Amino acid sequence: MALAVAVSALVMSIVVLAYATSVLYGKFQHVPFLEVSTAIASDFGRALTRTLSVVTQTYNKTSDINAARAKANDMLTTWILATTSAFAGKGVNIQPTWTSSQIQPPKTLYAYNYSARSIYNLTKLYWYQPQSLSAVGGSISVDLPAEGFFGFRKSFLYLLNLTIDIPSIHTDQHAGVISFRVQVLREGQEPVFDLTSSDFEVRCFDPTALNTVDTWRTAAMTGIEYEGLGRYVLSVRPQFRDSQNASSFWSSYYKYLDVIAVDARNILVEACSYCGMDIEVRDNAGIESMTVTLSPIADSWMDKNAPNVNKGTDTKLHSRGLTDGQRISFLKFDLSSLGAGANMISAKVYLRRDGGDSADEIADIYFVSDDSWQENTITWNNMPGWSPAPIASTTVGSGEWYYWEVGSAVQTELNGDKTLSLALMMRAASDHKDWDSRENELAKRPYMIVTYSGDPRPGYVLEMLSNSTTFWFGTRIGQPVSPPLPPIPGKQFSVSIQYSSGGKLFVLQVPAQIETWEPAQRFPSVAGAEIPSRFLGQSRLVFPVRFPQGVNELGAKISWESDCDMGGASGTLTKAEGEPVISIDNGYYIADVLNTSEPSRFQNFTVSLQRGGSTVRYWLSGYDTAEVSGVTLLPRKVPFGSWTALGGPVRWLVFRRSSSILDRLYSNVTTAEALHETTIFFPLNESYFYWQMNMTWKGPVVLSNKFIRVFAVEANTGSNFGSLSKSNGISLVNGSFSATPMEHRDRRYNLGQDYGHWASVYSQDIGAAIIVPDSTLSELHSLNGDQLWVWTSNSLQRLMEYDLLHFMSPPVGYTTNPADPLLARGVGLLYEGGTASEPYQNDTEWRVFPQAPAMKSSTGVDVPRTYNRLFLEGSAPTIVLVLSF
Amino acid sequence: MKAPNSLSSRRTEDMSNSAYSLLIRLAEAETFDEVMFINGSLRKGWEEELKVMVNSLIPVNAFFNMTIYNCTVRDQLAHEAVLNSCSMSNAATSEVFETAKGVAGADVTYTTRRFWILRVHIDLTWGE
Repeated sequence: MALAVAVSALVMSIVVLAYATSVLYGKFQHVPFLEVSTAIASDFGRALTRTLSVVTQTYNKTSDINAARAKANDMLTTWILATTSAFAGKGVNIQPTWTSSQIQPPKTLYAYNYSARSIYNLTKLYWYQPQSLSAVGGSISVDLPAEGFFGFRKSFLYLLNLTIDIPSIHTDQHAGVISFRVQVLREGQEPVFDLTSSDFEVRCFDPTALNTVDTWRTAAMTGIEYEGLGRYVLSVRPQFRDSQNASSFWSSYYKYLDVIAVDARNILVEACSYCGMDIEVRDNAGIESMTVTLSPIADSWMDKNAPNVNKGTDTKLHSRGLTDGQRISFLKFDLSSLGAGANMISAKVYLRRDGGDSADEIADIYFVSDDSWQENTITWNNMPGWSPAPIASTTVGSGEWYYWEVGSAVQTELNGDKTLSLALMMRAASDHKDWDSRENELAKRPYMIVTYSGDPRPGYVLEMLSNSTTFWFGTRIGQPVSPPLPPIPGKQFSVSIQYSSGGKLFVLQVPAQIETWEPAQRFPSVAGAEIPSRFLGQSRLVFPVRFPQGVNELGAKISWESDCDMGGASGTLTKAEGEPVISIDNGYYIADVLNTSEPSRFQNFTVSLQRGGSTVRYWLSGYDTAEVSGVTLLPRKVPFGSWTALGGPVRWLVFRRSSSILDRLYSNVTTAEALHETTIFFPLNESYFYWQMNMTWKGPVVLSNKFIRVFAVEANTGSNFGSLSKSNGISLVNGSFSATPMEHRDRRYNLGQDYGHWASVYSQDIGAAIIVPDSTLSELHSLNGDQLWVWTSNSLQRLMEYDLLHFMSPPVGYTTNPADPLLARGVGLLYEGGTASEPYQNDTEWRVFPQAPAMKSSTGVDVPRTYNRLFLEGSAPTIVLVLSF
Repeated sequence: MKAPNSLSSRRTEDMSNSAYSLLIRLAEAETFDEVMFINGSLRKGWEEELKVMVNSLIPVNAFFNMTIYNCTVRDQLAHEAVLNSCSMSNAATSEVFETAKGVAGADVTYTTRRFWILRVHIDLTWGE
């Protein structure tokens, strides 16, 4: 009995022990926290590598890093939801975060300084340089709250790093191959050892390409050798459109490579063997300063012996010493027409002596700070005071014209209220001189010639193609030499200008935009609003270059951003639309381009510019004439059709290709006569626009009169006009529009009267120049009968134009030659206008149309006429040096 | 009262660790991509191949049953669909698992190269 109890007790104790053990075990039943967390983290890492693969492959195709990254974020969001659901039974809580850290310190490699590279925002791509990398980084924390398990965390960084060994690039022209070394590493500097030739793509520049998309071609891989430590030697055979003429590749272009590597994780990285280029641009226009002539806006003389008498209307001015009763003359000049920020070089006031002593006597000019005096009220008693000492002195004898240098006073007033008052006195008490006032004959009136710098002269807009050929206004200024622009997304390009002035170095970032042109590079592509994924043969890199005063050479650095999130150039152009006009604000003027779809006789301008309350209307080309109801339609026919307008941070392009010709006689459209392609360029923050046109006759077109207009500008009432003489490029030939209708003035080349590249109409408020380059003038000359013509129509429209004109009565027809297209380029330039005080000397050099009445008197012209040199082929800027780095 | 089998519990724990280890190892070797997919699509007969592979990796007296789910997300909701069109098991019948003294299950997720998100579930038990 006792034994049974003991055994039972033993068994019970074992049972109890076992039960207790079971209970204890139940309380510590195995839940694989670590295994679950590890599995989740492991798959998170895997998801990150897949993500980087998608980002790099997507970006490689689209060049849109934001879209690629957005896709990656979507993928990981999906992963979180799916994974959380998959482990729902275990109540996991998953929280990813993106890594933010430096992944590569600053370094110098092959003489190029690399900035530090960091990862943030999930993924970063640093491409297009000799060392490039793609990276993704994130951390995952896993909690199992139901199990009381917290704090599991793991971080991941994956990357692929491709380095081109630049010194190793060499050629074997005989074998037609180039070879070079690359190194491919992954995270942790771990060599990638399993790549084959199919994992690399190498592109080389084809100097024989014709500016189509294939300026860079994929080379054929001929060999790959793994050297260890992630180093591969690649041998490739470049491809050319014309192998027979590819010698420049072997001498110059071979070292410019674009290399793509893809690893087993399908992660892609792209490297270029160079980071940019330095070019030096020389300005050959030689515009250093401007000279303007100003007339006084008021003058008078004061007599001490008649202290309350005003002499403002006198045709004379007097200066006399104290002995015979002092006389002092005042003059006032308005300086507001000088450009903002003008810096004086010289200002000379000229007065014509007209009486008084003939002996040499000193005449002093004093500065008068109070400009409130009025010509018709100033007297001896109310005249303001003057400076304690003269600011300029001249010995005046018996001659005619004398001048005083008053530049410092002009500068003072330029920085002030832009009104200059001067007092003229004889130094010696017994001295006496008389002068002509502004009320005298035109040729005798006083004036001031001001030479100054600092006026913002127009800047160039340079255009660079894939092969580095550079253009300005249709003129090639840089030859196709190495290095070419790499086939990377255009948005990566960045342009800065560098120059020295006053012992200091200035570096300025300038805007840049990417344009797409048709393969022949003659006309913009309507696809230009799309983001070009790669900069290839049809692309143009467009950027402004402005030479500061005193600087004739500057450097332009064209580089490409490695960070694919960054980019200097604007790769997207904005489209503008509008009917009846497309309106463009370029920061200096508002341009309206006529864009009506309604044919009308009254279409009377192509481009209208508004600035400061003034409007200037320009006509581009047209042809033929017609009479309707006593009104001359001139031209009768004009190119017609809707425009495409694309703009960026550098300029707007407004272009059209059309066969439509508006016949203003019938207000209808014909498409049988000509095909025209016109592009108008509006650079931002410039005072000019420029245009080019190609008109091809579809067949012989019979014109009732030989009239082809190339370029015209309308003048407002009261305007004057002027033009440079072509023969010397200096002298001005000027005149004024008549108030009489149908008055013509012209300068005809074939009648021995030369006319220059520049002509303008101007008033006090605004000046408008039309400039044509050599090529257009030559085109005109070749067609015979060309002229520069000014005309007041019978509707009092005032026009100045370059044209072909041979009016006869009755009209003599003219037939166009289909083999001879009309190629024209021109520039419309606005300036501040002026009053024109230079004595008008050469009105007779304008040939008067026989039926016109005699020309009225007119004034001279004050214009920034040297600006035409910017647009002439002979003074185009030149690229003097190109170096890659 | 039936006494708990501590030995079974311990073996179940070991099996669970083994199951996770197996799945994690398969995932890290990217086996699921290699075996299941070709050119981004499911390969024909992948179930049999995967079954053979798993069978070679588990102890000789162990039985497994594997199911692979494709996880998708629509409107912020996750959905699962079974991918294997036939059984992936080395057991003759399911009765092996129903009558087993202990069954260890493990789940891992696997993100494929084409970003399919798979949940791989395996049950392991041992035979007598």
